[in-house]
Amino acid sequence: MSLDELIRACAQEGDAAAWEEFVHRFHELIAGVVVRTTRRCGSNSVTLVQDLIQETYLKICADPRRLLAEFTPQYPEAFYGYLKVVTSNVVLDYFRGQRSRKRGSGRSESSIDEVLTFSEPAATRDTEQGVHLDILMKEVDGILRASLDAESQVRDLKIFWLYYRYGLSAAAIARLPSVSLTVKGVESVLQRLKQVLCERLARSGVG
Amino acid sequence: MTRDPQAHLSPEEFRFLSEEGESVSQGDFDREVAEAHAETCSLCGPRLRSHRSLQANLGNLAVLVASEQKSECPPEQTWVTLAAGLTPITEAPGLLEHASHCDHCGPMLRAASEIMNPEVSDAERDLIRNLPTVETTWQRVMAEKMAKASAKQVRREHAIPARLSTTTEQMPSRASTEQVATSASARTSWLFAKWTRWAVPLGAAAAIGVAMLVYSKNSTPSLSKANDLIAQAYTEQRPIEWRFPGAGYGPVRQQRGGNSNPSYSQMDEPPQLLEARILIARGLAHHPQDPGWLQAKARADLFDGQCQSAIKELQKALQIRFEDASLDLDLATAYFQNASQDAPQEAQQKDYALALLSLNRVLDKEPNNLIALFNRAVVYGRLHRHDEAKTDWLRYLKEDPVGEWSRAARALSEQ
Repeated sequence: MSLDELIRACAQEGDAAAWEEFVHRFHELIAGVVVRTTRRCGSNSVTLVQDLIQETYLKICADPRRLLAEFTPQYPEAFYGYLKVVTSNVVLDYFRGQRSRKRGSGRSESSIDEVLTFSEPAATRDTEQGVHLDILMKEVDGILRASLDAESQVRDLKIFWLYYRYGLSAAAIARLPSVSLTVKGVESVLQRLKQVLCERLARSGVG
Repeated sequence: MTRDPQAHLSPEEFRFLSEEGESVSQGDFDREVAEAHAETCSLCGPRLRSHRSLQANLGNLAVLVASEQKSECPPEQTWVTLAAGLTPITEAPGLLEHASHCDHCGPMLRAASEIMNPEVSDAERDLIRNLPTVETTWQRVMAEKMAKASAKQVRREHAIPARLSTTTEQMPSRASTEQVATSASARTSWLFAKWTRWAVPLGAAAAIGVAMLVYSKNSTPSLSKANDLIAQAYTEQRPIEWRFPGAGYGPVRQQRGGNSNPSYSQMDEPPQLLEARILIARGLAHHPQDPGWLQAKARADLFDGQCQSAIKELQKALQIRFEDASLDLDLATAYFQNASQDAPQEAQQKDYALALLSLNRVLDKEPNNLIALFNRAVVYGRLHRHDEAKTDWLRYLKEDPVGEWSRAARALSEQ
């Protein structure tokens, strides 16, 4: 059964066999997002993962017309993206609700950054280190802007800072819309920029 | 192919040697020979040091924790949508430009990208394969629920136009009924009409009742709901001074005592706990060996001070799911509570030590688990290990500097 046929069978006919195929086909995708999001929210509970997978399926079937609306045969990837967003929202909503209840402050919702756990920075920075890094960052940005041609500057700087400052992997950057590069392409950009920096900073005595 | 020891390092080799530990594919790169060359070569040696120094500096630039959201930052949901590839291509460049210079949105985008990663790691795949949700039976039951729910929703969507058309069609029918009423069989028709007026709704109500009964007997209740209800009960009537997963802050009310307290009645319990007990009974009826339901029962038992039965349930659950830190956390609660009851001092100290062991296991698995850290500080205090208690309190207050739990931690640390 094609994806198109499967979604129509689920959404229009409410067919249990079709839904079983749906669960089977998307289980790894949905469970993967649930596992990663719950871990990101600081929980390793397998039972919770199981409950949230069930919640996600119930959420999906509660609005069968939405399934049809979200599916475009020419862009099946968008449908996978839709399922991932629904799944992560189910998990994040659960943790936001938990946090709001725990805090008991009367606020109805916590923000996403409050429920996600972020890895610790490598080391605590004192003021002097902070100033040094600010200077280094400006210098790095200046060197790169001066060395890159206008055409690729905007894209390459985004790649550089997303990778080195915010820790996105080359694969994650390559997947972002509008980057239009393969993983190798992103790695090659990073390598080129690093080479430029290495030469310039060595010359100025910083590197 | 063997590397020529005299050959200068290639750009790729500089990269591999300076990006130690990064996830770069190194193929058949011969690190040892390349390192040895760099050590003796007057050209490659300084250049490699320069590469490594730059790498270290770039590593220091990393911002891994999201800072405060600013007014110009887009809503946080934006990054989830973007990482899922659902943002229109025209909007993506502007958003990426913002994320690449924002210490709030950059880390948010990274978190979203990790969540949306289409590649499932081996560890994740192993975990998923062991979930009950991969079993055909589970998927079949889920599919049936989904089919019913979606059919119901589709029927509801069709109901509005259908009801409108029914009303229109009924008008001539009503007129003909009036004509019949004037005929000789008018009385019979009236009785029939009268009967259908109450029989139809009564029949529908009975059918709904039967369906609900069948549904409630056959459907598995939600474990997370049961745990939520227990956490709410703990928030409302906190039985011991330490922290319970999911529960908010509340004053300690040591009114429990289980069956040993003659004035104790289950009707004194918070209503959330009574509701949770119903769910747990149904859950265990469906899955008597499920560690999650055993854990929920243990939590409810602990609320009543039935520590021994909670310890047994949690040990049983841990035999099945030994890696679950939340089970160890609850086991520590059970030992702590057991010690707090009227036990001889020697037995008390033994229970505190067992609670400490369980908490150490939790913190080995989850070093940033603040609930375990809070509770361990309390246990260290009971064990008169005041230096270790102080260290834990200081660490706790650093991680959770504001709020009611923080105030409670300060008060306990000063005792």
